[in-house]
Amino acid sequence: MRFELTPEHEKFRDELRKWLEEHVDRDWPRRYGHDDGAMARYQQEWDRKLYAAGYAGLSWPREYGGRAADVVQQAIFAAECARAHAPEGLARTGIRLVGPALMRYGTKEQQRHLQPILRGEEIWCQGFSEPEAGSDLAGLKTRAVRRGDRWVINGRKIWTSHGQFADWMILLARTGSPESRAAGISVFLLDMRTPGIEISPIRTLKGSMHFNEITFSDVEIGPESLLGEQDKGWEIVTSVLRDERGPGSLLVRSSDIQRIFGNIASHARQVGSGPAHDQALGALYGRAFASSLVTIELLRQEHAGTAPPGLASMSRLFVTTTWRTLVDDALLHWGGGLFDRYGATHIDDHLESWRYTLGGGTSEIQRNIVAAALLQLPSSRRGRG
Amino acid sequence: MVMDVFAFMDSWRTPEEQIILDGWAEAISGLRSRPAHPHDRPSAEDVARVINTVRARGWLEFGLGLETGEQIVFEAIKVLHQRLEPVSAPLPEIWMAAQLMRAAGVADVESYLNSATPPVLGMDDLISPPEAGAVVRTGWIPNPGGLSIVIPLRTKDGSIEVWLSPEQDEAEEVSCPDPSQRVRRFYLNLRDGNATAVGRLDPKAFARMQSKGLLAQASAMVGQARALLTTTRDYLCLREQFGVPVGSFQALKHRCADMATSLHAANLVTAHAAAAVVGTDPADHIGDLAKSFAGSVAVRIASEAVQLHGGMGYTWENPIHFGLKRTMYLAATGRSVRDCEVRLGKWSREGDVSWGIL
Repeated sequence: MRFELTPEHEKFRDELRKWLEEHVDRDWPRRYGHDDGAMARYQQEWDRKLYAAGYAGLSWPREYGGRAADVVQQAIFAAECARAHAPEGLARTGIRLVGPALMRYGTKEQQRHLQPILRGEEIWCQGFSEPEAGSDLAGLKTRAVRRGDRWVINGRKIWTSHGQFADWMILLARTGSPESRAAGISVFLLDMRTPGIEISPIRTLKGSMHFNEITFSDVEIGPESLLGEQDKGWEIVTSVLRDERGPGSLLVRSSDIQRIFGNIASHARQVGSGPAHDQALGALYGRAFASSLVTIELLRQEHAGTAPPGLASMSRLFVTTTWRTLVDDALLHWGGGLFDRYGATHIDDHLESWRYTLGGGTSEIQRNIVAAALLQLPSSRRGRG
Repeated sequence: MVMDVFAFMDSWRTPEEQIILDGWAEAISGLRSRPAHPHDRPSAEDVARVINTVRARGWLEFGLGLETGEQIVFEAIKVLHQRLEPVSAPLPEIWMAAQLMRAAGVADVESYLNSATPPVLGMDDLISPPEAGAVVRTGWIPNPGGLSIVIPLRTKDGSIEVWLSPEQDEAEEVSCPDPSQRVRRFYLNLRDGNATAVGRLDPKAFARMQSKGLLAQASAMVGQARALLTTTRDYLCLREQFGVPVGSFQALKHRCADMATSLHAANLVTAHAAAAVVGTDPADHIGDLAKSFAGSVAVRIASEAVQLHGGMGYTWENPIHFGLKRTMYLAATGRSVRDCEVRLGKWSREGDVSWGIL
């Protein structure tokens, strides 16, 4: 492909690779996997190590303590961390979503959060999805009502990653009329210690407590908690959501896919194969290989500024469904052998696949975006904003 | 309504390559074959007319990649197939014949291309070369007459002899699904003095040539799939039922989105394979990778494209079936898509799988 690393990029990669080799404890998933609290502490410790080494907030501008990394360096960081099987840390929501929003829309006072976020001292969670507003985010119902110069919040949020460990939340609430959809949403910065917040962890199909449901009952916050203008929150949301669909996260998925394929191929090598198994393995290899190319192409086009609207969704759709195809087909073709050989890892790899075809916009939403933005097929929505 | 929503797939080409390919698209733009009747097949004169036009415009030797490098030839094969009404001359098979001759050490291959009877190579014979013998039964060859036949023969010592034979009378028609070509099997008499051995390849050089042949087919399938999907997308915007364009129904949108996504991936796989196959020491599985992935995608897109045209897709009048049938021809010749997958799987099981990225 027409994509090559510059000597600077190679230097960055080699230094990072060396640092990761020295600092990642390969045993961490086994050591902390059984205890969500211990895992959270370990993840936060990792955030601080990254900060100390200068790898926190890579993409942030230098004036805020970042390294102004370009999209390629960010992608290298994601890929190398996945390769080294490094923890993801708890600072990610703060660094990837909250930080950029504060830099662009925050007051000087609100920007005081930036340094604690960067240092991994302040954990943030994201209060976007609701039980009745998942894919249809603009239909959210959690309300923020003015009382004097204060805001009073009532409602429920769901799928809040690490909400039980978070110090702060970036919250979307309706400040316009119930029918206002995207034109009546505001963004608030919410201290999670404020009275009236109830946190209920959700046990996922994997068995761990990654997500939470969070209920707000007359939660009162001050005027300084509004980020940007009232009712103009949708613009902030769309600018931060775009980040979630970028090439960096897909590089991590591609790296996982290569590791999972490697396990399947190694198992096939051990047990021997007939033509039917080889055919399945060949088809999976082709798809896994294509996933890497699709990811690199998104990276290349974003770097070059040529990526059309919808290409990120198309790439995400292909890569995340590849993961599912891989584990589904492996189960059909190799049965229990893979579980014998890789045990909990393989079960985990299988169950993890839905996290990415559901989270960050389901595959069905990605298809809608591809159809509308890229293929420019006619809209099916009538009378809705 | 007509717009190229897939233009983003070309953005990795360099500006220089794009200029060349635009010139190529222009050179072939008027060359269309549209059989009026299901039993019509192009004649030797039809094919000669197309070849003469391409030659006169200076593009016949392009397939050797002498000035441009060979990598772009596979993009040109995509461009050649980005239409529903196909070109009746088997240009990829002519180009692959010329490349095989050159790989076998034949000097001045251009003179063969410029002769009255340019060479053609059947993809079946490239993938499964017959044993050397007095009379050789070939695989499918798109030759309505007027093309000389290049045939690789497997010899006892494992190397490959390349023979050039004039078209011979003894031939049988085959049930080729693609009406834009006349495809036959030939019985070549190699002892009658007309056929000559023109060169020889070692197994490694021949394996690279086989990869190129499979990649040429994969590239053709990607181009064809792009034409089929573009037409389908346009049809979904135009065709109205229940008072709205049928393209506004989510059931159809999602199928289109899946097809477009897989087409984008197949385009990248073939582009990657083209860079690899012309590079130093390409791995033997490159052709299998290209045809297995692009072939699965293209057959699926062709099948869905007809379905999404509704009843119109079932008519002769609508040209969608020409693209379908060309895809069927490409899937039916050379190595089957499943066989490519089996070989690829065997390679990835035995070898050290590399991803070569970042």
